[in-house]
Amino acid sequence: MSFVHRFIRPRFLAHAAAAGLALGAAQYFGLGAEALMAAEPDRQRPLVITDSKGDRGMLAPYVHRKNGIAYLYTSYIFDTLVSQDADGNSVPGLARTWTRSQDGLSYALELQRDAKWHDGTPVTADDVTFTLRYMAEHPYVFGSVKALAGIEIEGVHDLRIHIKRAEYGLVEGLFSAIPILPRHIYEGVKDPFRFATPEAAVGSGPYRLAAYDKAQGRYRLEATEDHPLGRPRFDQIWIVKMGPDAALQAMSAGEVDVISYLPPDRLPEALDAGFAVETSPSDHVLRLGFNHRGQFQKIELRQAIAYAVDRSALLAIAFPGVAELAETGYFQPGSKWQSDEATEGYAYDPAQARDLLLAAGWTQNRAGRWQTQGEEIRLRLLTDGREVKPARVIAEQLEAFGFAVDLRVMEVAALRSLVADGDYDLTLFSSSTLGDPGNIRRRVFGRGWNSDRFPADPKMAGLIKAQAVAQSQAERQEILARFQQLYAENLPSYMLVNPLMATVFNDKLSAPFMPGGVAIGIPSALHKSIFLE
Amino acid sequence: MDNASPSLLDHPVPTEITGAGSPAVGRFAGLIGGFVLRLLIFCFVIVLCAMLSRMMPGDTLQVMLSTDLARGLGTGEVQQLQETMGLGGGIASQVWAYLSRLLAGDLGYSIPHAAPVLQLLLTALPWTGLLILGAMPVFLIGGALAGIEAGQLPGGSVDRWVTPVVTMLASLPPFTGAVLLLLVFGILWPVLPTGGAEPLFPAMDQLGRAVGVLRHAILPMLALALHELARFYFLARAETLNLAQRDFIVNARARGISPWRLRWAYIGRSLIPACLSRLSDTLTGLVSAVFFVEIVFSYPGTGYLIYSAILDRDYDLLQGAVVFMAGVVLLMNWLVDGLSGHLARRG
Repeated sequence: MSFVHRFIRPRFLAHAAAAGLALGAAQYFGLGAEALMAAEPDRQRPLVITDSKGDRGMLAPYVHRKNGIAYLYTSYIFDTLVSQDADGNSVPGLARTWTRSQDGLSYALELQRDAKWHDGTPVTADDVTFTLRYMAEHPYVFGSVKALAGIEIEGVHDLRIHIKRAEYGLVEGLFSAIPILPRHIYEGVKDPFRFATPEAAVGSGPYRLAAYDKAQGRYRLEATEDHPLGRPRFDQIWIVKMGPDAALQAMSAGEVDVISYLPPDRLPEALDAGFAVETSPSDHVLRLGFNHRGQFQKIELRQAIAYAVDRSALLAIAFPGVAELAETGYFQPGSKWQSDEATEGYAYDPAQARDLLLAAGWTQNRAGRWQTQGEEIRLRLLTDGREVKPARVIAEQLEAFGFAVDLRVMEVAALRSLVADGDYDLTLFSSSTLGDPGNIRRRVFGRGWNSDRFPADPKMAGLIKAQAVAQSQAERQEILARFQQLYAENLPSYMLVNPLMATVFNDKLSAPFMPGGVAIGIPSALHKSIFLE
Repeated sequence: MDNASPSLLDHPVPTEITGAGSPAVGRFAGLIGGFVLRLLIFCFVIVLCAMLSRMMPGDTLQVMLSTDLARGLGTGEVQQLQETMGLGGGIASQVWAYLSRLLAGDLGYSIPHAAPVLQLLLTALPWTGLLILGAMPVFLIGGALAGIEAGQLPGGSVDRWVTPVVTMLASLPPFTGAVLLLLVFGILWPVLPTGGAEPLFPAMDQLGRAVGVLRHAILPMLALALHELARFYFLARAETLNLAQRDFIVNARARGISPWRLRWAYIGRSLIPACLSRLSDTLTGLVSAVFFVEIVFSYPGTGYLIYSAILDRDYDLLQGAVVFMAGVVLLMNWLVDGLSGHLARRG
């Protein structure tokens, strides 16, 4: 029997397969989970939060995945200067007090005296100064330091921040958004986008990152001692990857405590099981965007489309029980910036839509198809995979109204480039209305694919500038009320529906969604303050 | 094994170059030739992938910044970031930079994951390997055994029941099979875990952990094996039908050897070269099937990594995965071809 044949005898093959499996299995034991399981078997069971996606990257400001949830988890580990209370109001974070100067051009900050980095080094004004300078050099994606003019250190825990214009939104914007970095660790880091060792996650927050298993998408956070904002309520917090069905099962079995985002259509199951359920409009509003540089330059045409779309039918067909009708004036109910004055609601009115189109010079042929200059109008409607269902409904409604509609469903990167090239008439996209109104400039007038891409209308742009330098919240509210009227009238985009979000808790804790969103405007019930006593 | 089986010679043996000097030298030259050919294909695949991935609209940074929570970066900032992330310059210069790094043994760096590509692949590959290695015996042995049974008595009860079922299985794409298994054993009759590679709280002892890992691997392994099972079932069935006419089998039957010895030692062993050569093209199918299976079962292998790499425009990671996968597939393909060529010559 030849050498080769010896190797292909069935018994050998069976052994080889078994050995391969054993080796493969042995390989795992060396990986990941061991680190998670290390130590403390007897302590109280940790708080377990499920996340349907899992891996959000190393929880350090520059390297976590660039989305709201990754930012949120990182905020448990890194503190900002200003934090939020349960109602979303600004309260002390790393800064114990902040005082605006008379002329509004500087802020005096007094830091917490007993704040410490997770490696024991005290947090000082030097760290804050370093962070703000470092972020000017290495752009931080979730906050800009462009508004700053200079920083003066006035003591170990005292500093003064000078700004270029007397902007009012700095406290709820920059101070609440930027995580403060430890100078002694980041000082030597040339490229923070490639700095992802556990050291990168040394912050000053109430929890420190104890273990991270990338393949399994798991995080283990451990409570720190003596955090200036209060004692952590849980010795450990685990964030684990688990789909909604598995999470509901595991919650019934007492294995998990919080399901971070349960798809609202699963809510009945959670309610039947007797769990505490918090729901809230996400304020991540589904909008119909217009190509303002193409077919929809004229305001009448945009308004006509708004009257031709039946939002209630859209809600009933594509979002049964899982969304609300959106406000058309940008801000949504619950926002402290939303004005009491009613804005145009664009109730479904095909006759009104027809009149507006005819007035704008479009004509309807005998078959009921809309034309302009003798040619049939073909509307290119773009959307990405997440909004296919509502996009179909909208396309059908517009078809029924007499338009030919080309629905194109693309993945985000391809969609972006089509939008940038202006190769569309309508887009369907979701975008947040949360966060400090300072971000309206980008969300309405910006050029991003998920901005309204509205050419700067002097009146509206003027109001946005004015609210930024307003001297009080009341003044800001008054200016923004006028902005909302104009938004509903001009329709930079047509706000369609506001989908609901839900978080499920067991009896260990529960908290409502934070009004106005967490920090940079993340719709969430899991602000770090609920994990503190 | 002394009787040559003509059916084996029907299988093409691509690496064989005949008539070059002594047979041994010719065989060796054939192996080398096959290797060089595959090396060329490998290089071509890498260059093609490097070009194609960069020709998709958008780049890593744009996708990274597509969240509506990100602030609007200025043009200068974007350029600066593109430079530091290696996304500056045209496609040609990026591809060139990538290839020269690759030649130096550097698989690159994944910006969205903030980790070296090699490290990402090394964490994910063992899981994918477990699924593929675990599925292999299932479809190889299961398919062959059932095929032998059916082939021995064509039209018999085994043949009549199993063949239609296997035909149906063969027509299912791997992800459909995976979803079906998930539905049956995860939801309708929830006896097996439906996702992930380990329980939420892995057992502390090694044995407990191994059991946990295996339980989680069963459904994805089965899903992966189901599709390939059909190939080997039909192969074994056809070969057995052929063999049944052959003298050495007829002889053995007449001598009255035990039916098990007939199956194992006579038919089974004769099937091995044919199965091996079939295995070489099965590998490619397995590598692409595991991709879907991992996504359905949210299994932490390479499939999900590659999927996200495409959506994230994570060029280095995508290419790293292709380098690995193409390398493994071509290497195995070369080995298996060499092996089955050798076996076919021996007859």
